Order: sequence, then C-alpha cells, then structure tokens
Amino acid sequence: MPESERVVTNLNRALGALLDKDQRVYVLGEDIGDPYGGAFKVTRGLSTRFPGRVLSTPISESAIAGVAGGLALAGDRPVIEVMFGDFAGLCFDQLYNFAAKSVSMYGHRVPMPMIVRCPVGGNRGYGPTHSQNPQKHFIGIPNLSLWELSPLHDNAVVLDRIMDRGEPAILFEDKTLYSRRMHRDGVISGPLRFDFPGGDGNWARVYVGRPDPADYVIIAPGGLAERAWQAAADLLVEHELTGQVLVPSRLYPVDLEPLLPAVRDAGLICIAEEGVTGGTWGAEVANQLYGRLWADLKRPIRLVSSADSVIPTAPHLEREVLVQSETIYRAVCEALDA
Amino acid sequence: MREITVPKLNNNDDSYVLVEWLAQDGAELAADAPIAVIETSKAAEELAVAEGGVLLQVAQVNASCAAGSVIGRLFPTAQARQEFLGAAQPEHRDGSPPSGDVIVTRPAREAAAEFGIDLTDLRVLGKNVLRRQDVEEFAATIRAQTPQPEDPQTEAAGEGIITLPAVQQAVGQVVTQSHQSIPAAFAAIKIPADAALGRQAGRPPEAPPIGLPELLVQAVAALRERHPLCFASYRGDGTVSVIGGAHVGVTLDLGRGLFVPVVRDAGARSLDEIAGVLTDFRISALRGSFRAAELAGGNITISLSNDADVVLARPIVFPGQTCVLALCATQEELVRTPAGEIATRRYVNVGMSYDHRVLSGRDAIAFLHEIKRILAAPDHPSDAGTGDLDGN
Repeated sequence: MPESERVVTNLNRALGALLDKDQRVYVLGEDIGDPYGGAFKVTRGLSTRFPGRVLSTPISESAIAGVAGGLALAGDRPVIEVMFGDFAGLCFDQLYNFAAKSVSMYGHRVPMPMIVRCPVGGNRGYGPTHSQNPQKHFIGIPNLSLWELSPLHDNAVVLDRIMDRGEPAILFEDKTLYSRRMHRDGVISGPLRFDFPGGDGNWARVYVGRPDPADYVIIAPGGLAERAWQAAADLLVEHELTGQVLVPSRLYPVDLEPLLPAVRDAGLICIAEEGVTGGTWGAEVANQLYGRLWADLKRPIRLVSSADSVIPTAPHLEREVLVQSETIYRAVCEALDA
Repeated sequence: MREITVPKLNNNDDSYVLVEWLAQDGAELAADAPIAVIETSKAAEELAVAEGGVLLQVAQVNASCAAGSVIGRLFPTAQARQEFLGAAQPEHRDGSPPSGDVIVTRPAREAAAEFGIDLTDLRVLGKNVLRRQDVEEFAATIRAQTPQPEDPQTEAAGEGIITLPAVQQAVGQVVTQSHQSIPAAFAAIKIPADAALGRQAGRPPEAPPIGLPELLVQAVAALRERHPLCFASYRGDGTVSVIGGAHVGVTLDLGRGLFVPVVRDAGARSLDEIAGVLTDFRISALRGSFRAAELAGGNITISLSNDADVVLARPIVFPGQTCVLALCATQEELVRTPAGEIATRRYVNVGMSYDHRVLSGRDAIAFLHEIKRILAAPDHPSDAGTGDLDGN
C-alpha cells in the first residue's frame, strides 16, 4: 500500500492551493524562500511557484505581524511564518492591540483574514527558547482564533476554514508532526480508527475497533494526539480500558457541542496538552465542561500538562519535563484506579 | 551478504523517506556507486555503497525508513543473491514490521495461556480487539463443540459394525478388569453442603475456585493416616500393600475422553494448592492432553459425577485400589430448623464403591461419616480431619 503523504507535504500543498486560487494570499516569513524553503521546509518550492507573493523577510517577528495586519486591513490575505512559536511573543502587541481589535473596533465588522503559523513544541532537544507551547497566552482575545496542526485534519480544509472566518488566527504546528504521515480514510494503523463526530469536521475522534461506550476520554490537541492514542492503546492492552481520543482542529473558541454525547457518559475526562502547567487551555476546556456536565460527571476532570519548568536541552531531562504517552497513561490509570 | 542501512542524517526526524532508487534491483554496483535518494524533512541525500556488489532492493520507493533500517542488501555475486532469495521468507518489502491488525490485551494473553488456546485460533472470531472475555467464551465454545468421542448417537442411524474410539476401548479394558477381579460393594451418604459451598464466597476472582471437588480431595487426603486400608492395594494373597501419602485421582471428562489425573500427596497441600492443581487438570482435560506422570500413582479415586440432578453414581473400583468415591450433584431440600421453622438447605450424596475383600461395610461407612463430618464442618476442613472424630 502506498504510504500517505507526510504532514509537511500536506501543509505545503495546502499553502500552494491557497496561493493558487486567491491572488490576495501572501506568504511571509524568515528564510522561507527557495532554495532554503523555511526552517522546516513547509514553504519549499512556493517562492518559485509564486514569485512576488512568497517573500523572505528581515528578522523581526513584530514587523512581519505588523505587515500582515496591514495587508489584511487592505483586503489581502497574508499567511506569516514565525520560525519558532516561542517568538510569537514578539507578535503579541500587533495581534492583541491591532489585528484582532480591527475586526470590531471601527463600528462595523472589518474582515481581517490572516494566519500566523507557529512551529511549536519540544522533544527535539532545541532547548528552553525553541521548544515551548505558547498557546495559552493567546486564549481569550476577542476575534483571535487558535488552531492546531494535526495528522488527522487535512490542511487544505483547515486553511480555507480559517480564512473564511475573516479574523486573525494562529495555527500552532507541533514540529514533531512534520515528518509524520497524514492519516486518511479513517484508519490510523491496525485497529486504530478515527472519524469526525459533529459534522463540521473540527473534532476528530480516535478509537480502537469501534467507538465503544468509553471508560475514559482523552482530549488532546494535534501535537499530542499520537501520544494520546498510544496511551489509549496501552490502556486497552494492559487494563482492557476502552477509551476515545478527541482531537480538535480549532482550539479556541472552544466548541464543545459535538463532544457532549461522547464525554457525558465517559468514566473520566482527561485533557492533555504539551504546554507547561498553569493557566492552560485544558483549564479553559475543563471549566466549560464543568458548566455543561456537572451533574453527569463521574469524577473530576483530569488535566495533564508539562511540568512547571523551563524546557531542558538535554534529551533525558527534556523528556521528564514534557508530557509523554506514559504521562497520559499514568494519569488515566491513577484517576480510574486501574 | 552485507546490509545497506540508512545513516543518521539529522536530529529532527524519526524517519526519512526513500524517494528514489538510483540503482536497479539486481544491478552490479562498483564501490561508491550512488544507490538511492533519501529525503529528510530538510534535505535530500544521496546514499552510496562503500563497496561493490549485486543489489537486492528491500525498501520500496516512498517508504518511511528510520536511521539504521535496512533498505537493501549487497551480495558478492548474482548467484549468492539468487540463493538468498530462494532461502528467504517472503520479506516485508516496505521495510517496516508487519502492522498488527489485531490487538490482544494482556489479560487475554494470560487467559489464552491458562486455557491452552493458541491465539492464532482466535482469528476466526474476526475481532480486532481480543479481550479476556473473548478468550473465555472461545474456550467454552470449544468445550461445547468438541465431539463426544463415545457418542453412539452419531452412528446409531446406520447399521453395521462401529469401532469405538481408542479412549473408550481403554476405558473398556479397565472396567472389565475391575468387574472380573474386584468384588465391589457400595454405600452412599447424604452430606449437608451449605458450609462447604460457602467457602468460595469472598475469594478474589483471580484465585482458583474452591468447590466440593476441591474440598472432597482435601477431606479424603486428611483421612489417609486413620484409614490406611482405603488407600491400599490388594495383593491377592490375604495381604495388601500400602504406599505413603494420599494420591487422589479425580475423574475428568470434558469431551476429550475420560482422564484420571492424580493430585499427588494431597494431604501435604493447602486447599489453594489443591484448587490450583485441579484447575490445571481441567484445562488439560479440555485439551485432552496430560503428561503420563500426571495420570499415574493414585491410591484412591474420586469420581466426579456432580453434573446437574445426578442423585447417585456407582463407580468401578480401579484395579490396584480398594475404593472409589463418587461426588453427586448438589440438591436442595426443606428442613426444619431447631427453632421449628422451615428452611432450605443444600446437600450432596457421596457414594463409595469398595473392594469387599479388603474393606468391610463398617469400614466404608466409617470412612463416609468422617468425610461428612469434615465437609459439613463450618470451619476449615483440614482442622476437622483430626481430633475428636474417634468413636463415630
């Protein structure tokens, strides 16, 4: 069987399609032009195919975000690459005080379609300032939506969906995903399957064999999805616990409606993310779930985050700090007393 | 033959992609010849062979290959390559391990080992996740479906001569010898069973079950010292021979024929140990396979006739032994309590066939009474096997 395309290829193809069908699309970022093609090769070939619209920029994330905001305000559709999401902090003011606000502060709605692509996450030995997950710092800003790359969601669909919202958006891309394979036709491997409950395709649901009534449900963004379903497979093999892994494409605003049937009856809801603990996305999701499901919950929602620590460079220390599949496995075992 | 492996090309990728073979399968290569293009997430790299040879491609184009994985092999001659191909098992040409279609849980593996079931047999279930429950149900199905070797119904419709199964022929020899050589008498006793049947309550589910068969083995073994003649062997000249210990045979027929495995030295074993041994025996009976040593050396036998509604069974005395006990089905009856109320209680009949040349009726009934005393005792039966039982 021919293997499916890699995530980086899928994302590259999606960007190419976006550029191809809409002259208003620009792609900006540091070193994204050929032959280098970006630090993670996501934009490889695009500057050759679309000269003048795929541009390498000076090294200033603030300036790149500012230019993108201006392009969007002028009716264009910019996609910018922040080489490492850790530096999204340098874009913060442009997003927080300009791009997102522009949607609604002029008395009438102003479309501001723009995408800030941020490679994030660790397990690569890149150290404290090139391995982080800054998602939580961008939660709760009006008119700023947050998305996450996943090996289950086709990026052509995702990029269209983001642009169609007409609002600034950040797409977080776990850099370990780039070299992984996209999964398609509802099959991951062996008996691992996935589908998209809820109709809008935002939430992918991963299960073994069939979506059984679940002993537990793990909610995990794309970067952690593989670690989460590995934990689910281990929980099945070791303890015969049946679970589902729910993977969102859009992190924020959180749309829980499609999830409620699946999570309402679960023995445990576990929310896992790679960002360090404290003020997390998981806490936001848990808070909303408590509001909807308080009477139905069998036990407290379990949050799994990375340790309260900078991310070490040494691989063995980094591994201890960051959420691994064993971290999720242990959390579910503990909560279910398995 | 040398393996061509993928070198580690960067720190970023768990695996790379073989994008192109530059050398054809079977090509004769010179040293330093480029053979394939490997693509990382950052760059494409050409791989070359250090030494020359005849190429066998293993990985397919577009396959993922991790650092260190084998993508091809080099042979000194085309003939060596051909011989390798002839001898080799069909290879997974994409270079990756075969993906398991089926997840077998650890509890399921343990159950399969317990019941002696080959996991590949479970593929017929067509399930992609095999749990302990699946294995247990499968074991029960096999047990139910195994044709009864001595079932006369299967051939009764026809006429002519039917050859009995070998197992039944062997049984026939033993019972004939018993009937020809042992003048047997028979007695049976009724034993209240509520105390014994209550022993299973509260035991952890993973522990081997304790029921009347287990308790009866223990009770019989406890009587070895006080009733040596029940454990003896008649020599035919007015003497018996006695061997040490209580080696209690138990009849088991779970569809694969009658077996009488022996609980060795049962008097020295705890109830849990006896239960464990009997559990193992049941599994072996289900599979129809015992080791010869497990079937030899018994000096007393318990015939398990405790299928539902069996009131009485009169087993034959095995040649070389002096008696055999028969455990019948548990039944219920109404009794009047000391307070004058009507209550339900459970009881079993235990029968005893015995060699009348060795044991008198009085001996047999004394033996049965002691078994009753032990099984009906609410306390630990092994404690009741000694002490104040004289004078019954």
